[in-house]
Parts: sequence; structure tokens; C-alpha cells
Amino acid sequence: MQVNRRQFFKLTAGSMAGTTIAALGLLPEQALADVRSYKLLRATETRNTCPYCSVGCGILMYSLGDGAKNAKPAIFHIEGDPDHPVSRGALCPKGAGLLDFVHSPNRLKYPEVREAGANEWRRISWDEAYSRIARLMKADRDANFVAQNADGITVNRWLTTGMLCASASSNETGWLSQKFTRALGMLAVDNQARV
Amino acid sequence: MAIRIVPEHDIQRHSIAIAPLRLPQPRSLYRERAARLLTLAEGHAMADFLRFAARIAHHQDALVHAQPVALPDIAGLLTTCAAHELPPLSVDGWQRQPDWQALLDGLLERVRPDAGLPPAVQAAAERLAAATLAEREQWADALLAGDAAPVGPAAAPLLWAALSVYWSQLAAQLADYAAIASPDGQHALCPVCGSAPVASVVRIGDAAGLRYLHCSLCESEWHLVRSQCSHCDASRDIGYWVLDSEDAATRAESCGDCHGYLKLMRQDKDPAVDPVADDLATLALDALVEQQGYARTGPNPFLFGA
Repeated sequence: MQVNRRQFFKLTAGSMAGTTIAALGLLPEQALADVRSYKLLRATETRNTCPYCSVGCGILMYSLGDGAKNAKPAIFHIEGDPDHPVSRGALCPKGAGLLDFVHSPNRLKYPEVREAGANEWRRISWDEAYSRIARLMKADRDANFVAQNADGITVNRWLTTGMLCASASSNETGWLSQKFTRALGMLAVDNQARV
Repeated sequence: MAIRIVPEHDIQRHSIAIAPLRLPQPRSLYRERAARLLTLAEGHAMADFLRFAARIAHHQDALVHAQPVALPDIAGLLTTCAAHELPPLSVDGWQRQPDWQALLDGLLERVRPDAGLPPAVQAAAERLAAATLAEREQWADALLAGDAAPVGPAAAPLLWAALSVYWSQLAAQLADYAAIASPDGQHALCPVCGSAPVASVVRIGDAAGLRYLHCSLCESEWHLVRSQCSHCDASRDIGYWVLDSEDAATRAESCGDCHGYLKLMRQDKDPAVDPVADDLATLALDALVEQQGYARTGPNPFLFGA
């Protein structure tokens, strides 16, 4: 924090009295009425990482709408982050099309299941999704877990299930992925580095 | 859009390094500012004030060409300042040469007979012309320290205009310094003269998309990553305030941590933006952002408070 390195200025304070404009007699009557004719909008510029591949290009996402004012924030523009050390503002066509990806009507927003033999996707709750995933993982692991190999050496591995992780993962996410998969004995772990 | 195939040997290879410092070009800067101010004055509620600033910028341009200032030999100082990230032409420490008083005289000689300026400006010029050299030095010291009261809000822009022409000409000769300096440690104040920025500009061309803060005095520019407060370095709650359209070239960058704001101009939205001119033309934005509880963190060379 470098507060007080520069001073704060009360520039207009409602009237501009005492400023250069007033002192030079150049403040028109309508100037302050002019102020009230404008609509003030607030945008936010959020730094993020492109989700597509393992290059991890930096992006800036612009959204309008202030949460405090009951307006739902909506992203209206995405561009490359010129300060990002990896990509210096550049984006490939997929990254440049991120805005359409964000607002796509086809975007998956909740868990769905297609039962064996069915041809329809059915929406389910997150609780149900987690329960089913856990149940299926446990059944598969109970059936296929290898505690010892043919030579009697303890290996504790589970080869019939793998995990595919996201590309734009932080170090912390990578650490959690490793803890989770290795604790289960899972060996097939990959990151979605090529889309 | 037609596709043009560029031969390999014609492709310009851009350096991936970000230049931390962009030195001013005073021989064109004030002329461009004057032109920009006149353009912005068309149909503007504060047209007379913008035209006043345009006249002064026009005289600054004439001064740069009529009274060039040579940088003294300060190689040792530059090396020391680069090593310790200190501003070599600091408003606190730099011993102003008598050249700046000559520049002020030159400016006043142009302002006093200028019928295009309001009488109050001429009165302010008379007051400066009648002052002793010592008085002017005291007023300059106070003004550079952020206190416009001794010289007064009417004469302050004239005094500042002369100081700016002095400092920007010196800064323009610091190419050797720019090559060795890496002023990345602090962002709040100008790495050349230690003054506060007037605004920041997202540039186009060889610095496309990069944000530079623009010094209110010496007109140098220094790099700061975007979406970060230029006053306290926080990035938690940065807002961009615009009038009427999110496509506006001028926006106010506010910080929820220090409750300061400074304007940011997007040159990609309007290539002709000038940080000083476009700031003056958007005082309505200041008024509305102040109502949101934020205070400005940089001065404008043409607008001083009592």
C-alpha cells in the first residue's frame, strides 16, 4: 500500500468554486446542469486465464453491472491481457471467441444423466450426481483394485478408472488433484492440455 | 477485410519486453494537445475553458521551438538514480536552472498580447510578470509540492505550463537513462520527476494494449499493469466508470481500497486521445464519480483548486 504518496483532490465538490475555471470566469451556468444529463455506468475488468488449453493465455474480461445495485453483472467483452508474460495480449481464434462460449445457449449449466439404454438426457441435482459418481467409483474400485501384484509386492493401484482434469489449473488445484487421485490408487491422470 | 500475405523478411519482430518508461516528445506533444483541445471544444458545455487551455498549449509548443533547454551533464546522477530507482529530475531535489524563468517570461510575452484569451488570464499573466524572480521561485516550489494557493488558481496554469515545458525538454533527453532504468518498484509517482500522473492511457502501436501513466509535469509515461490501482497498487475492487456508453474512450478507474480514482484513456477507442485534453473535456465524469465517494489522485495542469 502506498496511500498518501499522492494527495487526494476534491476537484469539483459540487460547484468548482475556487478552481481555475471559476477564477478565470470560464464556468458556464449550464456546465453543472450538463453533468446531470449523463448516465454513469460502472464496468469491471477482471483478469483471468483462458480455459481452453495448457498454454494458459491471460485474458481480461469486462462486465457491466454493479452487484450492489441489483443489476446482474454480464460479461460484454473479452480480450487478451497485454501484460501477461505468456501471451502478451495475443489470443488464438478459440480464445478470441470466448465471449460466445460464455453466452452460448448450449452451455452445460447443471448435471445431466443419460441412463443405460435411454436416448434422452435427464437433469439431476448436484447431490444426486455426486452420490452416483461416488457409488460408481466405489463399485469399480472394489471390483478392480489391485493391492498386490503377482509377485506379492504391495502396489495399491486402481487401473480401471482415470481422471481428466482442466487445463487452466492453478498449482493448488494440481496439488488437490494429485492428493485425490493418488489416495484412491488411481494412476491414469491427465490434464486437458490439448483441446 | 482483405488478407495480405507478408513476406517473412518484412515481418517486424516485436520485443516481448515491456518498456517501463516512455519519454516525452515535447516538439510535437503540445501542438497535438492544442489541436485535440480545439476538437473537443466543439459544442462542449465548457468550450471557453477548453479553448483557453488550447491557447496555452499552443504557446507552449511555440516555446519549445523558440527556447530549447539543454540537459546539463548529469551522467553520475543518472547512474545513481537508476541503481536506486530514484527520479533523476525530482521536483524535490532538482536544482532548477534559470532557463525555466526565461521560459515563463517567454510564455507571458505570448500570453499578454493574445486577444484570444479572456481578460482574467491576462490579469494573471500581468501578476506573474510583475513578480520578482524570488517570488516566482517560491510559488513554483509550492505549486510543485501541490499547493496552488500562493500563486492562486488563475495564474497557476501559466506557471505550471512554463515548468512543464522546462521539465519535458529535460526529460526528452534522458534516452540514456531510459536504457538503464527499470522503475518497476513504485507506480504512484513519475519515475523521472516524482510528480503525480494526470491520467493513464492504454496505448496503441508498439505498446498496443499496455497501460502507461502520464506525468502531469514532465509528460513522461511509465508502465503499470492494467486493472490495478495506480495509487495504492490494490486490485481487489477496481471499477471503471463511464458516461453513457461502455465504449467511451475516457473512463475513471476507481479503487475500493484507497477510495481514489484516476482517469484512463483508451487510445484503441480513439487514437487522438490526449491525457490532459480528454481529462479536461470530461469533468462531468469527475463530478459524478466524486458523488460515488471517490477522490481524484492526480492533478490536471490546467485545473487547480484554491
